[in-house]
Amino acid sequence: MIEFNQVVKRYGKVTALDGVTVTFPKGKIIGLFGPNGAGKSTSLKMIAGLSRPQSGTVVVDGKNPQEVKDKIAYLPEIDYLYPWMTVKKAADFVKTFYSDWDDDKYKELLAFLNLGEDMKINKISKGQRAKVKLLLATSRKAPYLLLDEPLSGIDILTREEIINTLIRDYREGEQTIIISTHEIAEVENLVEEVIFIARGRILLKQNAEELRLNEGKSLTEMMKELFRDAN
Amino acid sequence: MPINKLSVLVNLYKKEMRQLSLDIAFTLGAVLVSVIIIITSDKSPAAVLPFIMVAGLAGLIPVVSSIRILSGEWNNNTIYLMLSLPIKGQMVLGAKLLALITHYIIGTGTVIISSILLMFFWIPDFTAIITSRFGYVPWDWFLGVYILTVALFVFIASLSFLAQVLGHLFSRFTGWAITIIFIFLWWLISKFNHWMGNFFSVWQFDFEPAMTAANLLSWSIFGTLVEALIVFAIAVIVYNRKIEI
Repeated sequence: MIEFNQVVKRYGKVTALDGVTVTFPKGKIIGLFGPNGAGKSTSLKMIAGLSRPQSGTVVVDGKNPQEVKDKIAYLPEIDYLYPWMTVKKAADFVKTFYSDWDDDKYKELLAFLNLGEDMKINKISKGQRAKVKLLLATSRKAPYLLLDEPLSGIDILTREEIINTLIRDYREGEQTIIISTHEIAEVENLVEEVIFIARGRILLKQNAEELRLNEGKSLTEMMKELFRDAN
Repeated sequence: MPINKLSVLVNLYKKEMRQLSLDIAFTLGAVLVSVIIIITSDKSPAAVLPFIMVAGLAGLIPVVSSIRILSGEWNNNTIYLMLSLPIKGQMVLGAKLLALITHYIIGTGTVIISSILLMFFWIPDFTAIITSRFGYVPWDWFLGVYILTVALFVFIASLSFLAQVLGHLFSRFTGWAITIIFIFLWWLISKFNHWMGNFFSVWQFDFEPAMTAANLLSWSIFGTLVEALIVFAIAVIVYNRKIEI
C-alpha cells in the first residue's frame, strides 16, 4: 500500500503538492486524473523515490520509497532511455538491476508490441519509444507499476496496443498500477479506483464503478465538472 | 535470482565506457596523428609541438568528460532512469569514476608509450644518455610521478562530481553554480593543502635530497588519494540524500 500523509512539495514559488493525504490501495488499477500542473507527475516521482517531500511523508509498504525502488516499475512521460542503445541493450542494461525481470515475458511482449531487438532508441518513432518504455517496465513482475502520461502524444493505434498490454499483463490483486493522465476517456474502462487531483490537492477519491453508478456520468464528465468547480 | 552487486557495477561501468567511447577515440586519434607528424617530419623540433599539445589534451579531455558523463544525465533526461534504479550513489558515481580513470589511463598511457618509442626513434642512444647522467634509467620515478598524476586526476574528477551534484541542487543557472562551486572548492582545498604542507613540512627534517623527494612523492600520492576519497564520499552523500528531479 502507498500512503501520502500531509505531503507538501514546492518548486520555487509553485506548490506542486499542498498537504496531500491519500492512500493508494494495493492490487488495483488506479487512475490519477487531473489537468496539467495538478501534481500528478510529482506524486508518481515521490512514489518512485525520484523526488522527496518538503514536509509530510510518503511510504510504500511501510517504507521510505528510496528503500523499495526494486518493487517499483516507473514509466515517466519523458524519454529517459540512452539514445544510442538498441532495444536489446536497453533491456540488458535494465534487467541487471531487478531480480523480478522475466525474460520469457520480455520476449512475449517484444513480439506483442511489434518491436525488434535491434531497433535503436534514437531512430524509432515516439510511439515506438513509448512502447519500449512500456516493454521495459512490464517485463518485470514489479508489485507497483507507475505510468506517467503513458498515452501522451501517441497515435490511436499505439494507444490501443499500450492499453491492451496493460490489460493482458495485469496481475489482479497482486499488482498495483497507477496511471496518471489527463486523457481519461482512453483509460476510463481500465481503472478500478480514481483519484482526482488539481492544484496539488486531492479533490476526490472513489471506486470508479461506484462513482459512475452514483453519479450516472462518465469519469470524463465527472472530471470536467470537478475541475470547473475547483477553478 | 538475487542481484549481484559486482555485475551491477560492471553493467554501469560498461554503459559509462560506451558513453566515453567518442572521447577516447578522439584522444587516440589525436595521438596517432601527432605521432605520424613526427615520424614523417625531417626531425625538426617544430614537429614535436602537436604531440606536446596532444599530451596535454590526453590529461585534459577526461576532466571535460567528467562533466559530460554526469551532467549529461540531466541534459538527456536519463537521470530519470538512473534515479529510478534500485542503486545508490556510490554505484552510480563509482562506475563513472572508474570509467574516467580508464579513459585517463588509456589516453595518457598511449601518450607515454608513444613518447618512449619516439625517444628511441629520435635519439637511438637515449637509454645510454640517461644512464650516463643518472647511473640508471629511473623508471621507478617515472612510474611514481605517473601514479601521482593519476591520483591528481582522481581528485579532480571527484571534485568535479561534487561540484556537479551540488550545482544540480539549483533549479536555475546550474552551469554557473557548478563552475563557481568547483572554483570555490578548489581554492578551499588548495588553502588547506598549503596549511598542511607548512604543518607537516618535510624540509624541516634533515633528510638527504633523494630521500626527501621520495617521501614527498609518496606522501603526495597518499594525501591526494585521501583527499579524493573524502571529496568523492561527500559527492556520494549529496547524491544519495539531496538529488531529486
